[in-house]
Amino acid sequence: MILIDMHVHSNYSDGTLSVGSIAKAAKKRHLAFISLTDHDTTEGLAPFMAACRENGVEGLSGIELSADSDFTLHILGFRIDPTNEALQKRLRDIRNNRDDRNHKICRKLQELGFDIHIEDVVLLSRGEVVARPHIARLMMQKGYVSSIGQAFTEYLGSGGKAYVPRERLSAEECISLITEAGGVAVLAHPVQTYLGDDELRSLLGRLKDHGLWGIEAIYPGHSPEQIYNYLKMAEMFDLYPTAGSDFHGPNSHGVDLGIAVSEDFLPWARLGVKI
Amino acid sequence: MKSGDPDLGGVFRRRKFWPQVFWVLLLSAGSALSCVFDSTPLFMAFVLSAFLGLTESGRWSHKTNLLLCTSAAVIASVCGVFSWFDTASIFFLLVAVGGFMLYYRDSGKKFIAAVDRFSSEISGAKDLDSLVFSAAERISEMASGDEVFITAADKAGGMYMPGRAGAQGNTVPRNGGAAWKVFASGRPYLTPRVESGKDLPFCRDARSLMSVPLCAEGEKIGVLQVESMVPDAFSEEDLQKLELIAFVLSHPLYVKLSAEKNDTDEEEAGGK
Repeated sequence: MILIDMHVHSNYSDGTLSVGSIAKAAKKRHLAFISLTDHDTTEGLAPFMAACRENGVEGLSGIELSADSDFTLHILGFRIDPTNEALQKRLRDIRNNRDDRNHKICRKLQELGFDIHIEDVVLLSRGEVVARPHIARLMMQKGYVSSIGQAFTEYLGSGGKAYVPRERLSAEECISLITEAGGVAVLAHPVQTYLGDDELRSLLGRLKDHGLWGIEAIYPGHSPEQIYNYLKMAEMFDLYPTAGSDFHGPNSHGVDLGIAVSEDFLPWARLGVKI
Repeated sequence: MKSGDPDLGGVFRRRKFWPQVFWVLLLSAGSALSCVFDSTPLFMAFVLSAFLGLTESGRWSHKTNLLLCTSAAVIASVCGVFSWFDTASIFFLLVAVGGFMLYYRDSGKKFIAAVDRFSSEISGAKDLDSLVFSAAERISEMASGDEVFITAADKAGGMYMPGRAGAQGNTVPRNGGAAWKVFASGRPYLTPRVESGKDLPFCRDARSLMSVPLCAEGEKIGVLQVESMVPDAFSEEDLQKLELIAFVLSHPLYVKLSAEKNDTDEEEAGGK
């Protein structure tokens, strides 16, 4: 048995730990390897790989792309080349759209009478990719809402008073970008899609045709029944089951780094991992 | 077993120390013999067997096994039995074999086939006793002969072992042992070192155990417990696998328990 983690976020996106702290935590927990999969950014990969080398931990480059859909649809990419020009161009577009969206949200909140300015949000984010949770945190700090959940339900979430839809890539485009950057694409936390078995099968069939490599079957939020179903689906579509915790930092409720799998759980050499 | 059917043996990786010792001894003996006969092919055969054996018995990492086998070749070269060219050839052979294994081995994809085979083999059981017997036998096969215990909840909120002696089987005493802890909490439990006074295993000589709840239709219907005479026999990964097996077992067990309960209720109603 080895401990691995193929789904971890740092403070380059919405995680709370630095890449150095993640590498140290991985070393402390004796992880065989760890993959950094920040949302829509590869900026943390170079320092992450350096931190992994420094701590003697095997690191794997990764990313988590949010695909355009009516439901939560995230695509993980592993073994990507962070210097790939096409990938970087699309990621820049995504970041620009996100910045544009943050400005629009702040303007809407100001129109609603809240003293929320983008400069304060950026200051609060302390160098992290600015996202809605930071706006929600500022609203909470200023006493406009009692919790981050309330900020999302009433203002920032879909249907909220200050909601601004986000431009996203299609799932097929996410897979193409990842494969063109030399990586393999994996459907992240299928449970969060809230799709029924038939709908999920049809989604997997569609994505498999576009080059999907795996499905994140082992995930802390999956029950044994769901893991069984996802492993069955992996077998049905000839996909590799992967294992990731979606660790966002010590504040992630009950989620810790590392998932136990067998030494031959995946063909590690195909991911460029030396265990 | 039909040809092409997945093998149930080895689903749970036994973490034994002795297989490793055996392969290291084989490597040492093979190295000594090869030196005596001054035979590079003989050494290659031994070192390759030891490398594959060490990798499959799976307690040490791939890198450790590679280092161990290469060290044997280096020692033979230092002693002047083989040339450095032979040692380099052995090293590249091991790297190639290791790389091949790391490129093609994917047990994550194959595990579900073994679970499906388990599911189809227990689906033919006629009654509760034969289901429990068949499931325990198959799980024991997966766990290389470890003791498997399946308990079921009774109407009074207690637990018993179907298929054991007596009309209602062996009642599991409410002693706060591992099975009761799992039944009460609904959470899986793994202990690498059984504390007989605390864990109260079913088998007196058990040294390690893992236990998972059996649930169906929102009800707790029993507990599935695997006990080993070897300490530290199970890993967290084994526990995850046992949870999936418990999920597959739970539904047929629920159906059989319900049927038996209905029969008992009818008998009681007929008696009145």
